Order: sequence, then C-alpha cells, then structure tokens
Amino acid sequence: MRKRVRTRGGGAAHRPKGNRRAELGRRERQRLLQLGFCLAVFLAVLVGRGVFPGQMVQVGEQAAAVLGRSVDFKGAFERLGEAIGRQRPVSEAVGEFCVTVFGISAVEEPDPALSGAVSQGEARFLSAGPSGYEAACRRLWLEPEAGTPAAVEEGQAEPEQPEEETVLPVGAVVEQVPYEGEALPEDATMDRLSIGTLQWTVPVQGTKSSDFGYREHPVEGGVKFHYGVDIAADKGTAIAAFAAGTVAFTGESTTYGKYFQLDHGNGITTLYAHCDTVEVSEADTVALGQQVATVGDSGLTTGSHLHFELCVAGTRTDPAWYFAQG
Amino acid sequence: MRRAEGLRLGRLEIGGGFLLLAALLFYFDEQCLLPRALAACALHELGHLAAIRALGGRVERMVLGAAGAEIRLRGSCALSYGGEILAAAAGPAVNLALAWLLGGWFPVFAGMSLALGLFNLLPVYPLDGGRILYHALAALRDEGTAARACRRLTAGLSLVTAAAGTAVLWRSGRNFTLLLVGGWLLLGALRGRKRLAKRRRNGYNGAS
Repeated sequence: MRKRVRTRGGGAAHRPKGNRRAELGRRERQRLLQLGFCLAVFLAVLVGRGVFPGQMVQVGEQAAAVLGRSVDFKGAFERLGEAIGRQRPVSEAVGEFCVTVFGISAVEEPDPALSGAVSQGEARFLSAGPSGYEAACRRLWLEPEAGTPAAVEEGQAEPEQPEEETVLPVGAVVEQVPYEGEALPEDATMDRLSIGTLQWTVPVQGTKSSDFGYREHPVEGGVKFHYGVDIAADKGTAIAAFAAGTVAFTGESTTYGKYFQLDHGNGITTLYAHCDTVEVSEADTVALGQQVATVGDSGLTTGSHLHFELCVAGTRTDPAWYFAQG
Repeated sequence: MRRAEGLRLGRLEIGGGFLLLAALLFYFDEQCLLPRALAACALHELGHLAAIRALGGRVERMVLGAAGAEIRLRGSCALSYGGEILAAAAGPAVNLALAWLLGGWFPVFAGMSLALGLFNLLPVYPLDGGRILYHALAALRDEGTAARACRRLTAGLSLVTAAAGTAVLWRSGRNFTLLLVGGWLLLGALRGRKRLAKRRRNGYNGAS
C-alpha cells in the first residue's frame, strides 16, 4: 500500500512556512512605514507649519487665502449657534449657513480681491467685469474735477459737494455693506460712514493701485489688512488736503515713510503716507484742497503712491467709496 | 485576530489617512476651528459608544480613517435593527442636544455641533442617517431591498453634491467647499459599498 503523501492546505501553491512569514513581515513593514510617514507629516504640521518646501507654502497660502478670505467659517458657525441660542427658526439659519459656506448665491461675485459685496452705486461698474471697475475708477479720477492739484496751487480749489438730500450725522452708517470675509480688525469697517456736511476733495489724481481691506502685502507678503487706499502717481505730484482742518501730527517711519495726519473736526481725520515732501508742520491750519505734500515712495513701498486713510470716529472706512460718489 | 490598521491606543486605532487629513486641515485652519471641531466629533462618537453599551453591544475597536470614525462591534453581541437605529441616532442626538443647550454661550461650538449633527443625518450610507435608513428598511422589508435602496440613494446624493460643488466652483471661481464635501461623501460611499453588498455587519461610521 502506498502511503498517502500529505500535502499542505490542499491548495495549489505550496510555500514553505518560512517564506510566508517573511512576506507577511514585508507587508507589515510597508504598512508601518506608511503609517510612520503619515505620523511624521502630522507631527511636522503640528509642531511647525513651515516644514513644507517653499513652493508648497506659497500654494498653500494662496489656497488658504482664496478660501479663507472668501468664506468666514467661524462667523458662519457663530451665527448658526446664535440662532439656536436665541430660539430662532433653525431651517432658516441652516439655509443661511449653507449659502455662506458653500457659496451658493444668485449674484456673480466680481474680482476676488474686493472683499464682500459692493454697494448699489458700484454695481454698474461691476457689470463690466473686474477690469471695468478699475477702468471706471480711473475714468472718474482722471476727469477734470473741482479741486485738481493744478487749481490747488493757485489757491482756487472749488469744493465738491456730495449730492445728498438728507445729510446723516458724522459717523452714522450711510450704507451697510454685507461682508463675508475674514474677521475685520476692530478699528475698521466695510460699512460706509457719513462725514456729514464736510466739504472735501480728492487728494491726488491717479490710479487706484490697492484697495481698502484684506490684501496680499506687496512687500512683506502674507495677508494683511490695508487700512486705506493707494493712489499711484508720479513722484512730486501735489497732494491736496482732503478737507479743511489742522495738522494733527507729522512724522517719518520705515513703514509709512514721510507721513502726516489732518484733523477735520467731528472725529474725522485723514492720514497721508509715503510722501516725498511734507509741506506742513504740526498745528498748522490747512484749507480745503491746499497743497500739503507731494507724492513719493518713502517707507515700505513698491512705487510712488499716496497711501490715504479716512478715519471717522476712530474707525477706518473705505475712502474709495467717497471718491466714487463725488 | 485582525491586524492593526493604524496606531493603536488601547481600542482606538488612528490610521494614516486620518493623520494626513488632520495635518491638512490644521495647516489651513487660520481661525482655530479644528480643536472645537474635533471636540464635537469626539462627543458624537461618545454618544454612539454610550448607546451601544446601553443596548448590550460591545465595542471591539474604533478606527479613525480619512473617511471618518468607524466603530467595530464584537460580532457576538449583535444589536437588533431597532438597536442599531438607536445607536446610530445617538451620535447626531448628542450633537443636536449640545447645540441646543450651548447655543447662547458657545455659539461657534454650538454651530459646529449642529452642522455636524445635521450632516450626519443625511441619508448617505456610511453616515448615521444612511445607517438609520438601512436598518429601518431592512426591518420593514428585507436586507436586499434596504441595501439596494441605500446604494442608489448614496450614489445619487454623493454625485449630486459633487456636481453641485463643481458648479459652484465654476461660477464663483474660488469656493470649493461643496466640492470637497461631495468628494468626501463619494469616498465614504465607495468604502462603504463593500459593507452594503455583504451581509449586515456590525459597524458604525460616524462622520467626522
């Protein structure tokens, strides 16, 4: 009788025990390596965000800026929570949340550099597209207007009157601007504030090179809040006083270059920076449209321009809106 | 004995996918929302665990992956259909309760909790809502019908969400949140398909 030869497992492949263990060991090792890699990445990001190679950081920041700036998740969650807290209808709050977070909206949003929605008055510019807005601004400011620097030198500036039927008190909100971006700093607002009956003029004719609000800083990089508006003009171009007032202070710094601030009363102040020359001194009285300085590129700049800030009752607001009104 | 799928910390397993996802989210989290989000997810899972325990089930382990957290039960302690529904509902219930209680005091956390709870109630398979639907249909009809219905609903909703997300990205030029959600649902759906196709296995997936 033949002895039956026992075969292992009954399967076709008959591997010796040692090899199978080695194969499993290899797979285990591979898994461990993968896991180890993932853990390393996690710890790296946790400990220091700057571990990625330079290009990836840039891409990451761009992506973060793009999404982070356009969707304020924290604010959206906050509103949702507050809605429940106040026992408001949940479905409404959830709907609002979805619209905010997922960006489902009927209105096409223009240039991503502009934060939030824009007022009705500017809507006509937007229909022409992002470049239309810029072009329209240029057209507005380059057209001969009352209070041009040339007229200023002769001391015969004509004041610009904002055409309003009713004038709101200084500091009142003329127009609330729905803003859906990164949380604003405490001393700035996207809302349009009233400057009462103050007669004013555009300080310098030029192209708007940088808007009010969050932006990628042109020199330092990173997303920073821009408290004013930049108007590009040739070095030496005359800067007119926005309105009558007194010189609150003048100074010089590495960031702002040669700068000064005018106080127009009622809590309205304007700041002018990166000047080439400042022709007034502290406590001087200035008239509307009087030449007070010249455009330069002092301080942290990429070119010759005026950095102009408008502050109403301690809150910075977008000067460009006023210029567009005028 | 199943081999480990990730870092083992007692009965908790942290997979590589989860670590990478967490790293990515943390990298982009400029408003410091991640800790609160993780807290909301942890409480959600605790809700599941507590309900399972109360209903007589026993947890073998919990695996954290890129598609969320998965609770694996010990096969010997199976739950009835009703039990599975309750256990699945426990997670979102905790989230909704927390949101309702803390709405006034911690609005951001409450909002996150509410969003998480409602999201989990979507009738898409690996999510709690999908599970509730599956077990309800399985109890009312049979597992085959339940599995078919859930597969179709899951595939349909995931694709619709992904499509809507693409449309939003196309129109707005920059908002890809909805697309990410759609992609995540598809990922979960693909992973969960195997489970739906086989016999009912004891497993929960709380979306995190």
